[in-house]
Amino acid sequence: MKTRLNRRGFLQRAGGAALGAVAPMIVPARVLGRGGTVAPSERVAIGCIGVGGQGQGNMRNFIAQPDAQIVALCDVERGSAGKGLEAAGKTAVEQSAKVGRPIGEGSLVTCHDFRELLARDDIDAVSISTPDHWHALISIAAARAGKDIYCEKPLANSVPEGRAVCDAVARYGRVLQTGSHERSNDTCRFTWELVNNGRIGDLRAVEVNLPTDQPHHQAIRQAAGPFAPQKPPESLDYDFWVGPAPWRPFVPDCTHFGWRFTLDTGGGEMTDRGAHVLDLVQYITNHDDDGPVELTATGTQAASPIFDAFMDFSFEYRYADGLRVCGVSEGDRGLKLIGAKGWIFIQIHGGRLSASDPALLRERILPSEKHSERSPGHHRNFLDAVRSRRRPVAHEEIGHRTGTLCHLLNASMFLRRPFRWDPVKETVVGDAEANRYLARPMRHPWHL
Amino acid sequence: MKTIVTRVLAASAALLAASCATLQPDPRALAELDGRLKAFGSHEYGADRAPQAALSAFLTAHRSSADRKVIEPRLVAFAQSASNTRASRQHVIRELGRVGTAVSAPALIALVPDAEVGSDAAMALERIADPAVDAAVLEALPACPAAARARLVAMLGQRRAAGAVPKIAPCLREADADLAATAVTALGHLASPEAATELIAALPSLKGAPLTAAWDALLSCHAAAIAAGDNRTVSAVILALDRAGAPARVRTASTLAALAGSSPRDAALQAARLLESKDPAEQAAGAQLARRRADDRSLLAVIAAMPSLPPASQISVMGIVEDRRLSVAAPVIARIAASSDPALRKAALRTLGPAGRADSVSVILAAATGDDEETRTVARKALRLVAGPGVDAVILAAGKGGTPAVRAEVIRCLGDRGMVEGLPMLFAAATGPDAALRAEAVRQVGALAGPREWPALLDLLAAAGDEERPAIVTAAEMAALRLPAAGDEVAARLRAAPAAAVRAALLALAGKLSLDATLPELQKAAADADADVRNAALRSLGSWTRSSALPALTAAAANAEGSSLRLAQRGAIQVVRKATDLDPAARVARYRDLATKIANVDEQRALLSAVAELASPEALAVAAGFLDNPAVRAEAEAAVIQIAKRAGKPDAASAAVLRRIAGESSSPAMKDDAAALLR
Repeated sequence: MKTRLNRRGFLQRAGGAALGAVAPMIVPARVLGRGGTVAPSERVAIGCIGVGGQGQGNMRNFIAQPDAQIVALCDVERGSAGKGLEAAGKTAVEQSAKVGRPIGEGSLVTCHDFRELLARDDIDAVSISTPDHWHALISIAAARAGKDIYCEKPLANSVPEGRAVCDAVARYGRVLQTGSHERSNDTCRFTWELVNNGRIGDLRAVEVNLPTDQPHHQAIRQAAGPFAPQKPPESLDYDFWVGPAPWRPFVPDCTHFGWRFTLDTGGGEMTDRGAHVLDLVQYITNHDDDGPVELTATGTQAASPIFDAFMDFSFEYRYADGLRVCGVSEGDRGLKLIGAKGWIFIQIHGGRLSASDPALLRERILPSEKHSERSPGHHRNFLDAVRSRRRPVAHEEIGHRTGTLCHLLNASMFLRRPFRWDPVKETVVGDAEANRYLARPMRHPWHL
Repeated sequence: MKTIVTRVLAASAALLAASCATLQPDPRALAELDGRLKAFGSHEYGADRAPQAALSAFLTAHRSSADRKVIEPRLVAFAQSASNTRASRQHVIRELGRVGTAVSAPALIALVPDAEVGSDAAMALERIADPAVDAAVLEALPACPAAARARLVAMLGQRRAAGAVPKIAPCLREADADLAATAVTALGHLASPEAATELIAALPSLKGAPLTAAWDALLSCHAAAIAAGDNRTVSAVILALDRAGAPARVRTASTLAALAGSSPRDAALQAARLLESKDPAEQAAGAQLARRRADDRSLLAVIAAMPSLPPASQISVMGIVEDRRLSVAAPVIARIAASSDPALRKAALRTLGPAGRADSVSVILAAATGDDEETRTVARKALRLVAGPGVDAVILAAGKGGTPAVRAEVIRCLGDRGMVEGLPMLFAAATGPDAALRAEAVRQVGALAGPREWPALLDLLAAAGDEERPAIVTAAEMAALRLPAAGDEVAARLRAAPAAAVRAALLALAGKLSLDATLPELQKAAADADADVRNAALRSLGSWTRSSALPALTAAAANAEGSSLRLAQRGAIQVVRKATDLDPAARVARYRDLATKIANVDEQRALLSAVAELASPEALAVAAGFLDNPAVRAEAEAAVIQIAKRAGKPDAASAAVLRRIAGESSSPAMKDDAAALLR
């Protein structure tokens, strides 16, 4: 349907004079500091939601950018044993001072409810580093509140959640960067260029290694318990922490960090590092806007009383163009792109390359060939996108498609059968139970 | 005991799952299932999860309608029984969400008010894709206790339940803010004209969380009405948003949604108007509209208007031009590249990389030679990327006739651009008067030179001054990677016996390239009367990556003395260490031979360090041979320990060496390590 709009009608709808009386939702140049001082007008004011290990890492990366200022922190863990808001607050103050953009005494806002942070007009963007089961709800709320979003991977904890995030970002015209930072590695972008300019010939297959042999994996496997539920510590708002996930009593081991290996709150290695490696597969093979059409995965869940993620697995999937990807939970973490004339292996993390012929890695991509824009760094790229309103290198659709792939593989393992997937309708073909499994209802009062 | 029981039960369940293709009509299998469920009823959080996993596997395996018809009532009864633990009921309820039908609806609805499992029951209902569930919930809703109504209302919204609006609408006026907000969200999901009407009517009375939820709910209704061609509802929503003073972002979102179905031309026109605004929100909306809805042709109008747009809007449009590589915009962008606004200037230069043309080159070059460091950096990057008909020719012409600064930038980009036609210019610059330009030109020659240029590159090496020769060697090394026959020419040049400094440079190059064609000349040079030539040859041989260099090094070591002897011996050790064509046994044999010839302590230490990388009894024996030498005893012990750690259980000879160290070493740490390896 075409909506007929004359200029007058358009201006009325756009709010015309009324808009002048309303605070703008995007503040690229007007951030007020506390204490009556005016902060440098070009900084992007950032609120960090989730300030555990990864959250503080993201916070530091933003502090290192000359045009970003951390103005607020939010976590349901107020602070204990060096974690939570208290520790993060200290880090934010110290690091900001080191780079010459000190946070004034008492200026840093801290809260435990993200809605409070999102309601603030002095925040332009948020960095979301909570456990996975919160990613979608907070991202959607942030979009509705007019904030741009940096959200850790996986973008969401289920397929419908991911789509809802994309819809919200599109509706409100926001910028969202998924934390798939390997995409910003020069080597990964160079590999895209090598593959897409035919340097290894026609791409025949991709092999993925997602090893689960690190100490923390062994700890998960060996966590035999029994684990008696405990009273949550005073510093942690545990009911808020559980949020939209099915309720379970507090067990410290599956809260901070361990949540990754409980399928209600995370997706195991498939989403932890799989979201990085499979994201690169999507990117380099040019499937960022679709997904596989067939897939199968088998795996063994952790036998622990509290962890149920898949620890040993193998999988295979196929795109509509015939490209096959297969993966195992062993080997050097990364992906091997196999072409008719050679192969390239990208090791994760870091993006170190090896190839069937080392000369491949010295190839020059000429101006007339296909190029993949270089990212100046994942957090930098996000800030540039906030300013220019371009889509960042790992925007929401990309994050959603990669997350979907991870969730599908987990579902195939849980249901012990292969699927056919319709990447346009985003449904499993002919398997109502699989679609039910993929839909992840939320605990009241948290809903999409 | 409990653990054993649960493990046995889990194992039996697994067997049951594996053995039964169907439960029908096997009463024994049913009885087993009933037994499993009975035992599962005492399952607690944090206890062995095997029975839970086995139950899920069993349900997965028994997927037929006939099986599920038999299983479902049992699951329902289990869920209803308060004598089962919360943990077990929760799991079974979740599984009802996965495998249940409308048959489970009444029981699940009745459980929704339950303080322990109510949320789980609501979540399970949400998953059961059967309209009969919606009907059952709608019927139960009015009589439902307050605590549960919000859960059911949310569920109806998530399920887009038909006929739910009249039942949900009264909740909008509830004093319970949670229920009111949930009702608002649910109506937003339903997004029907009726839902929109109810929301609009309730707007004036909403406050706080329900009002916040209403904005997005109305936008959902608005979007649905647009898709359905329902102009009346579209207008009603827009009017309501205006009257209620919805935040700017909400009204902008509704504007964008209204334009979602417009033609690319209309979208571009509207985008241009929004981009003209001084309001950042409208600018951003205009950018989004242009990016998502305007095609390349209709974007031309926006591009033409760019210079009159606010800076932020210009930057947004340039981003679109860059992403789409719209070279038709290059003239406009080039004008902006001369802006006094640094942000605009940089954005324009950046865009001219992917979207530039031949006529953009002069602008880029001017910026690349300007005063501002950041601008220069962006311009250089653009110079490497700009492509299209005539671009290379313009760059070359600028390099020939431009200022020194321009020539330098051209030279700098030729390698990255792969412009082999620039090689004559590069060779000329490599011998020109400007030292910095010479260095850059040499570097680019290395990146571009092919077989035809190889002799000229070696001529450059011969003609260069001593200070510049190392850089030319590096460039030649880069070029030679692409030239299989590079060694022949180097060998020929060596045979021609050039001046000593040139000879030394050629020898260094030969070493970097490890080309066997040059070995005869290197061997000759390794025996040269001139110490510089001799040592240069020995260094080169010492960096060889194959064992083919060893005979020359061995011969040289036999006849040399002083520094040449040490270079030869050290070189031999390095070759054995790194050669790609030697297996471990061959390496050990050569180390063994070298051990009999090396007398200098430094080289002995180097040998021990190299042999310590191996992992065989034979290697250990070579290292042990140095234990009687007090000058290198400590290194010999360390090497023995390192080898032994890698080699596994020691044989008799190795054990004897370790015992010796354990008994005699002056280092307590070595003694302990040796003793540990013997255990």
